[in-house]
Amino acid sequence: MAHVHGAAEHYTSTGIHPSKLLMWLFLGSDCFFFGSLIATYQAYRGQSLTGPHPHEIFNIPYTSISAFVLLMSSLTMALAVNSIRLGNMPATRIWLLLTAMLGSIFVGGQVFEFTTFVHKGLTLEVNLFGTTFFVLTGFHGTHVTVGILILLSLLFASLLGRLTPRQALTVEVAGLYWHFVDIVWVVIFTVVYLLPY
Amino acid sequence: MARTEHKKKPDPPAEVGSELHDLTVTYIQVAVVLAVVTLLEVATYYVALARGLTISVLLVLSAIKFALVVLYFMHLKFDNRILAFVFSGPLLMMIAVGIAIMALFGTLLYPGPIW
Amino acid sequence: MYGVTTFAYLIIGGLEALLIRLQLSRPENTFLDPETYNQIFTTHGLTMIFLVVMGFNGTLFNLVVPLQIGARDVAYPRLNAFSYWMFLFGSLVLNLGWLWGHAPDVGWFGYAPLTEVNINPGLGPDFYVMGLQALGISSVAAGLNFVATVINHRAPGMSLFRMPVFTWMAFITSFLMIFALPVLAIALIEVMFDRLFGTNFFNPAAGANPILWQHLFWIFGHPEVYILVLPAMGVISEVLPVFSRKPLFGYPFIVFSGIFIALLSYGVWAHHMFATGLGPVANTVFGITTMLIGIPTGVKIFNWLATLWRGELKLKTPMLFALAFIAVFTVGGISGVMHATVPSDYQQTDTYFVVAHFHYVVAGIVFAIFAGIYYWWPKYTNRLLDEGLGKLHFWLFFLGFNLTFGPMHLLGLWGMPRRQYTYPAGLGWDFWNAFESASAFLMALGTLVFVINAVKSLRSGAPAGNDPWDGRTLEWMIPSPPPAYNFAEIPAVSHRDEFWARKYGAHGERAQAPAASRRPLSGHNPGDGDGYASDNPGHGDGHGTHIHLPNPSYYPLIVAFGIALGMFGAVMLRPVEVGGLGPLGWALVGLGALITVFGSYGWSFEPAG
Repeated sequence: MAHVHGAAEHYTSTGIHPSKLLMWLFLGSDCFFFGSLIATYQAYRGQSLTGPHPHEIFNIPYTSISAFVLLMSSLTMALAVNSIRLGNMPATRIWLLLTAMLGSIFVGGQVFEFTTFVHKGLTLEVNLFGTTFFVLTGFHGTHVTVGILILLSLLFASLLGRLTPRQALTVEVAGLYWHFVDIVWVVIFTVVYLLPY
Repeated sequence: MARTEHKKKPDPPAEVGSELHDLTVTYIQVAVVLAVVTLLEVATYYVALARGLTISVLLVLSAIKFALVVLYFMHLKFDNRILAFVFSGPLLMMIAVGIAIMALFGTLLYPGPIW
Repeated sequence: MYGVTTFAYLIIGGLEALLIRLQLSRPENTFLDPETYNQIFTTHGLTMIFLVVMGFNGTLFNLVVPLQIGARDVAYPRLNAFSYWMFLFGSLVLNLGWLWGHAPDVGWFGYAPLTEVNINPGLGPDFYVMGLQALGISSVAAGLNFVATVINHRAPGMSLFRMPVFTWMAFITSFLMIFALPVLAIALIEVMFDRLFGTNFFNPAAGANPILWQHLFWIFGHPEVYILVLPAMGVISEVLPVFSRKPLFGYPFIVFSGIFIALLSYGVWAHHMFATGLGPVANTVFGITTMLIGIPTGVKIFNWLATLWRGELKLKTPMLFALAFIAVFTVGGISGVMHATVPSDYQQTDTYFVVAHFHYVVAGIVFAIFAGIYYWWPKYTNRLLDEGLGKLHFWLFFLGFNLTFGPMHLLGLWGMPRRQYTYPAGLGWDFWNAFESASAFLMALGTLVFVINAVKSLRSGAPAGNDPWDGRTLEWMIPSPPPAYNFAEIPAVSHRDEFWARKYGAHGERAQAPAASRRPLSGHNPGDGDGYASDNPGHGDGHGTHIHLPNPSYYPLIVAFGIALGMFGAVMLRPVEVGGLGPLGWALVGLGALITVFGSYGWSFEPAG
């Protein structure tokens, strides 16, 4: 039987795929990254000397919908991973595209939301709330954008025939990143928007 | 031969076309629960509960969403235990550090001094 | 490459130290003006901590860990290359400030609000922020790689509790790197945003509390010092058994101590802040946790002593440095416990007593570094270092070290403050400062002796062979220097100290290394075969494991360069009046980003080796 020398064939001491392990480790470190930003937000919670203050600015129904959109993008991502594991490339492409689209709607929604906030006087520099809020959500949005780029790259690779069921692990690992970005938003939505000040 | 058998082969991708590994239904169920919980969270925000109760309910609800995504969508429930440690370790440590920061800045139990 | 870069920075950092000592040799000296002094002592700290000790750890992780676990290479060779290039470029960004006359001048700990743009408008803090950010990326990448390597690339039979202690410490340190650097990254981002975009993270006028910087920095900073020291402790745990011809005493205790130290290191950070007014509750909690963390270190020290007890001690140079480390680190640990006692710390903080403490522990690591260099030098160069010169180096360095840093305890208790460019005459500090400055040159002399020894060894040193020290661990089984593929055949491991067991039996029953039980591995040298190995070394049967060597790749270098360029561009975003490029900096940032993205795509789509 011919030896296949692709990465999937490398033996490991534990049976865990190295790239999956790497991604989980990276996500662990990202916990500290976002955790520190959230800790900063919490350290300065409610301590702005001037307005605007959160309750004057937030549009909870709007943000709830965008949070829902991001959650659903996790569903489509999971379905994409599921499809490629089952060998169904057309379905994989559709789910990848949907995930990227939902992610883009989320980011677009954020951009619109932030523009509204700025018009109401909340900027990076105006007070502690503006500083901590925009930097935290800005870095989250950047993470989402990078995720969208990764998804589109996978989609593109698949259209070129370079992404096949043999690379299911790559999509799974990308999925781990995407889901992480989603759960960070779960935390931010609750802590920043919903928890009483 | 004997040597390489000591090492474990990584779990292979599912067989092409196998129905046994189609998790679509599970994922949709999880998504429905996530949607419902989000609705409950928003409802809790609007219902005028006592402050402590609101906080507790919201934290529990968001923890449920967090756990569902991690365990099911990210497949951690079914994967090697090592991965669970690699993630939950830093998660718990960061939560502890975060709580300490809040305590040190006086924002753990009460809002800030301004309002 | 790590080793050479690191050593170059050791010299640079050492020169910076000598400049400090020259300035402090006399009261009210004018050798360095205050601004220059601040830059020198800042870069001395940054260089020694981030470039020398962490660089040396990177060197050893690369060279030693794969060999000790019987692996061909690290888990991700290109990521490894990326770590190195990021290290090099990051070190350049950090030091580039010298060219602008504005190296970082805020101390290696960069306390806000000294780093705020209205107080420190020059480029110094910007280079500080961006340089450290780049170095942080290097460390995280390295940490990820080594965790993956140790988890997945161990030889068959090498369970975690059969791994050599150095590899264990490298493993634990790698987790610490992954989980501590992000906190620093956030702290640096907050300073950067305050300086570039007018945010309010450390702006008291907006209600912010600059102490947040100290919290975030030390939440990183305390795990960081364990990142610095755990590998050094690993080196000692390798050297002592070999040069006592006894197994390491209490292996599980040493391993678990390392794990406990790593976990607890996240709970002690505010002991750097006892004098900042945190209040009695916080001070008490952190005082207690700090005392707790002294315990596992003590456990290690006692286990080392027990290893030495009744051993057949061979006092070669690596052993001398290792023994000195134990002594020196113990002294530093004791002064550390004194700091943990909060009221006592109120007197000691911000004095030379603290300077003495951390030099005894962190500069004490240099002893472990030299122990490691002398120990593993023969493996990588196939040359022995001269024992006579080694001992001369040792004694000069040991003497110089104690004569330089010992008196600092006294000066501290007599009230001499730290981080000051000069001091008034007539306070009783003059003599000892001069004494310390003179003694520092002994350390420099010792280092010079080492350089001579190294050059002499490379040119005409005696060949070392595979196993010059009668070692215990797998790296001594293979030829010196190791072939590119490390092991022709991955060994099957059934003991801790596997190589020793093969030579002398599991209980040391064989007095001499018997030829009959020597496995084929140690007989291989690079000339044998063409990289093919099979299960039956004597019979090539075509079904052997083809040894993959990764193809060389430019992409790690390209991505690292792109990131560093972007970082440099961010420094250049500052206004033209202070030496930046203003909005033109965005061009550099954009270019850096583009190169990074291009490089990343190239890297992803490149076929693996």
